[in-house]
Amino acid sequence: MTTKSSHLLDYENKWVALSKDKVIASGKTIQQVQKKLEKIKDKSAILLKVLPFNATYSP
Amino acid sequence: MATNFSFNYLPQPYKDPKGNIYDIYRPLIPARLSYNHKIGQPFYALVDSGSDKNLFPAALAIMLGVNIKKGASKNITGIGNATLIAYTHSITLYIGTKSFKTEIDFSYDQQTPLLGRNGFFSLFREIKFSEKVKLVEFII
Repeated sequence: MTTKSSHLLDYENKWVALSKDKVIASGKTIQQVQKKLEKIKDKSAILLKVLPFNATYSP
Repeated sequence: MATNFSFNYLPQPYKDPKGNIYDIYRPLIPARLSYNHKIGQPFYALVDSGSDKNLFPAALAIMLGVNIKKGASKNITGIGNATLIAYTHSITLYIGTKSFKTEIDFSYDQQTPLLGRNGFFSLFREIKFSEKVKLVEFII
């Protein structure tokens, strides 16, 4: 099944950095992703916590 | 004249009990923080009318040089009687091109940044959730 969020399927429970709907960095923590972004000097990618896929979210 | 801006909900994967995968749309909007003239990496934050206040992961402030534990500490409770400790800081929040000086609670135990009523919703005259078109609109 094709979904609009299929680019996130490999990143359950991880932090990712998104640029134009593509994952350009990922890690278990924000700090890990931030270090990768510093290496590639990308200050515009947007960080996102990818939540578990098998649960709805009620903060 | 009212200043409006809006964001489409962000689709994320959801797996039903049979293993089928769908998109679940959430009102996650791009935001960024600024502290002591340093601007942080953008991140998605959930617009959450059920949260009393803003609650963010501590890491988003630490990357700006904020000394988390210097903030006033407080207990925050959510579903399931879970309680976490958070530290309040006054910080600049950017949404789109707009900046707002506001208070945010930061916790080492929080994952998704939550934009709550006091300190975020309170900055706007109106916030509209349009579930059918999956859009959240902000009216200053």
